[in-house]
Amino acid sequence: MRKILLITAFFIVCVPSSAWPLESDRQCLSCHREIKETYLQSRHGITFGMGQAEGGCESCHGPAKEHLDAVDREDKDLRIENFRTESGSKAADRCLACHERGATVYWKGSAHRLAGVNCFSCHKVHAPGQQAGMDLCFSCHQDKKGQALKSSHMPLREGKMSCASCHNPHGSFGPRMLKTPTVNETCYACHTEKRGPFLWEHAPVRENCATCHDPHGSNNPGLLKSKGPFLCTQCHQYGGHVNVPRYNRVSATYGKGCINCHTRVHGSNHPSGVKFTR
Amino acid sequence: MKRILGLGFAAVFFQVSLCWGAENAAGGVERTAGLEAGYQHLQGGDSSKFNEYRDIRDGAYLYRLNLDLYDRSSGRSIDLRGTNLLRDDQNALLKAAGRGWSFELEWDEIPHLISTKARTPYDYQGSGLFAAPTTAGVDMSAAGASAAKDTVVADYLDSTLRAIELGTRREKARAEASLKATPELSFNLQASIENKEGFEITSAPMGDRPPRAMNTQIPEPIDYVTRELRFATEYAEKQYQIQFSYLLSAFENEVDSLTWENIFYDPTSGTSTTVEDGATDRVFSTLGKTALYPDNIYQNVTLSTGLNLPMDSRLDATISYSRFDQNEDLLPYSTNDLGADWSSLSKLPRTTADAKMNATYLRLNYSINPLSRLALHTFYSYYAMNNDTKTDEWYYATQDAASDTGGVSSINQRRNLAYAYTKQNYGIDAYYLFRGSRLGAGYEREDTGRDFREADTGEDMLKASLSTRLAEVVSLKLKYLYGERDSGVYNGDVTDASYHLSNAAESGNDRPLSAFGNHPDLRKFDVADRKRNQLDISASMSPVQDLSISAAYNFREDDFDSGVSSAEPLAGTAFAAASGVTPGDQLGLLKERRDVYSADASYFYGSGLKLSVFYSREMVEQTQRGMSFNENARISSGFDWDEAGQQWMAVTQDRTDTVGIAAFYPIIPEKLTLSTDYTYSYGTVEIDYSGFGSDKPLDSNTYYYAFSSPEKVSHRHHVINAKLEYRAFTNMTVCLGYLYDRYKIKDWMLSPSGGWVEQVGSEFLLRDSSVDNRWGNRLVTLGGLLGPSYEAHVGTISVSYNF
Repeated sequence: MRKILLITAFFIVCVPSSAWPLESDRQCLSCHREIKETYLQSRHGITFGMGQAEGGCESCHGPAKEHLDAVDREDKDLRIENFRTESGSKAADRCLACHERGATVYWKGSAHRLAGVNCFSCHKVHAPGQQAGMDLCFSCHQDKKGQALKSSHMPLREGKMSCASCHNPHGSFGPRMLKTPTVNETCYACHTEKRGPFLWEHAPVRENCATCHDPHGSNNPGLLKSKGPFLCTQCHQYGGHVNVPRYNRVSATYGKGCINCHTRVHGSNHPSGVKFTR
Repeated sequence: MKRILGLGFAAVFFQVSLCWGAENAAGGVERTAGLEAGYQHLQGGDSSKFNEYRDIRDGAYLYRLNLDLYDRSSGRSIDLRGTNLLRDDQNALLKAAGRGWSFELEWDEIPHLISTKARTPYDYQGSGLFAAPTTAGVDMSAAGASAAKDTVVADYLDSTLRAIELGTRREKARAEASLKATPELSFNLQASIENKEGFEITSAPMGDRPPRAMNTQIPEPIDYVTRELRFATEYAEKQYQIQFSYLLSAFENEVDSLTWENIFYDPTSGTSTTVEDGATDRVFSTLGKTALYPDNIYQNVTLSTGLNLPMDSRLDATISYSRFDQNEDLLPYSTNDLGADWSSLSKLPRTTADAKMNATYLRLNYSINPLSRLALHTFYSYYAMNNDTKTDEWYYATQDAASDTGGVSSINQRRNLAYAYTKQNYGIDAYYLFRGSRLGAGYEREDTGRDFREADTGEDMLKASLSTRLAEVVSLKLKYLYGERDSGVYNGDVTDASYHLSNAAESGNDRPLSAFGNHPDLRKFDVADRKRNQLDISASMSPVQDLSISAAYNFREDDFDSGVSSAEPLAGTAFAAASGVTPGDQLGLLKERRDVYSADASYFYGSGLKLSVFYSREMVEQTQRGMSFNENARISSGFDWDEAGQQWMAVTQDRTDTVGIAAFYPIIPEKLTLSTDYTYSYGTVEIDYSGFGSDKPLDSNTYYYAFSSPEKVSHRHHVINAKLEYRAFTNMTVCLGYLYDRYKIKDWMLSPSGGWVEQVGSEFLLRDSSVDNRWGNRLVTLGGLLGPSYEAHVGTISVSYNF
């Protein structure tokens, strides 16, 4: 089916672009005029044009004749595939007939699909331009919108990163639709210096960067979840200077808190780096 | 490089877009080209925070260039895109494609400006060496009031501080080629190289521990290169797909170590100096050294397959193997011989890190629709992080000079533990369509086994969801998750394996093997028992055409109550503290709760007016308990780890309010439009501290242990954008733009005040003014608020032209 589509598309594209569309497409356009201009600029329009042996509009929306007959009869059921009203799975199946490959191969088991999202929740097939950008994600994930505007943030709002830098919205084999098997391997894609491994490992760091950091944004420096010494004392109660912040001590309270001395907190490669001070 | 790239890109753009069209207008080749260029003026914005990840400055600006050529007859295309060319945040992309192949070249730069007001007495010599041009020359060995010595140091800083810009810049070049050999078989090859250069913030501590630490913040030189090569192939049929990828990533740090001179004392006078420190003098080094991030290599192989099976079901399976290698040459224990050859590599059990880890990941997903209204999804994943780094015994030389404690001896030998873990997740979800609604229920189990951690954990999670429409106008979604994690037996002494001494060889105070390391009532929250509640509610409606409203509430709560009860950690021993009983109140993070309320609305009026508003409030509350006790008196008669009165509580309230308003109005349709938006974000962090130390007076002679609820941290950010666009001709638009950006920060951690703080220029000098005014415990910083408040106005005039 796909081969026939592609070969047909090849021959169709070779014909000058002023080729007449199929008779059925002309009939579609006689009512749906607003679609033509934008569709021809879309990826589908550029690739397949308006003329296509397999049916142009019909290749996605179904047989035109049945629809036209239903319109003439003024039936309630207009006998056309309307993806806005179909269930997510059914709507997606039509797209997956061609697009179940590459980044979309995990769609059927993805969190988005299971939540009832379908292709048309995010994509506009009849219009040009890729439907990407944070605002699209924030339309559902509203809690992340405020986080992205916090003082400590990754460069999303500056346009140097996007949600898709870490997540695959079409589904992935990683947790939370991350592109890698773990949170850490996602972070290491950019923070390669923290991959290690190190002679002295900081165990919760190795297990999950999100133990200490909130990647979506924070009111604390360095995307940290807690302020200064109060982060470290959530896990360290060794006694002495470790346990309690004191105003008049360098050790914990000002600057970078405990990291003033424990500078290699992500892991140390110094023979005497057991406490990450070297 | 930046100018060459930007100018070259622009030259190609103009050459092709101006010449191509004339020659090929009738040839069936479609061309779209455009550019936006202009001039902008910046007033204010004198803070690194303004340009933290961007480059806005006075001058001419090439915002955008794009050129798209498409030949329908051959299917070939060329796309050229450039944004912010000739700026520190520029991006340039060239893509050529045809039927079944594509080739891309991309250049991207990301600035990260940390501070424009940092100052340091140090002079960077290159190769990680920071030299102090002169030193304070304080005679720290003499007993006496430290106030006089503080004055010497302050005068020294006053005369030696010099400016240094803190920040980094990433520059990445990427090339990617794709080939579709057949409709089913495709290949992709990607290569990239990224340089990251600049300075970040680190510290140069002298001394082994507080109160015996003198510290100086210094810039850490960043000179990283990451080279990556990725190969991927896919075979895709309608019924099944197979994907394979291999990634090789090599990280190189051009600066292996950081070396710094002691600004308080002349390094040429010797390798160590004595510092008067109350009753016991300490030995400090005059030169310090630490290891920076080592070079490493990462490899990953991933094989995935997806199978479409009968009954509208699908199975996808992924197996992934990652390997992490690092074998950097190690530094010796000390830069100084410490009288016994401690600067020689021969003292080390091995001279290279020989660090290696590997991770294996397996994921299976199966989805099926056994009935038209019923969907089932089941999954299994397994992740194993294995640590093959060789364990040896290493001496813990706490600094580059011997001192009375923290000296290099067998007491301080440690083993590097090979932390590793495995994680298994499995579960099932079911969804049922019922009268236009969608009901969901699910169960998931997560089991994590850990080496050298306090606990293995197992968690059961139950999930429920509902998606429905109310009265045809309101769409409502609810999602709930309840999770219960059990850590089983919590072993707080697991890290005893890193210590050298056996029970029989116990002596001195540092005896965690027979005493304890962390307080027995502590539970580390990442491996503690946990009850988790998550609730998401969202509703959206369109009460009238062109008006849409949505609201959401997100709730997250983690309760780490682990049923801690009193313990007698030294019962049965011969220690004086054998009878001690812990209070039985859990220490560490006890609870974390997050509530997010959000709403947004958008309205489209017939004349083209578009309005949208957004509001969100996020409230995060963390509750934790700590305890002060004398680490040197665990086993002695003076122990205090059993006194509930030594406990403290901290409740942190972290709030963020965000408001956004946007409007678009066609003043003259198709001719003159106005768009504007306003964003306001107000984030605060308040810590309510109570218990131990909160009742102590805070003055220049403040008590040894004293803390109180600090001032509220606040970040207030206003951004207004306004743009007036006039379409002068069909292809040309003139735009007047204005950006107002105001940021205010208050942060007590970065702006200390009190009797123990002295301001010198832009730096603050902290000293321990408690009890005996000892010399140890000093911090010289690079400055207070390194990214301070600012107010900026940016005016722009630009022209966009489409060829």
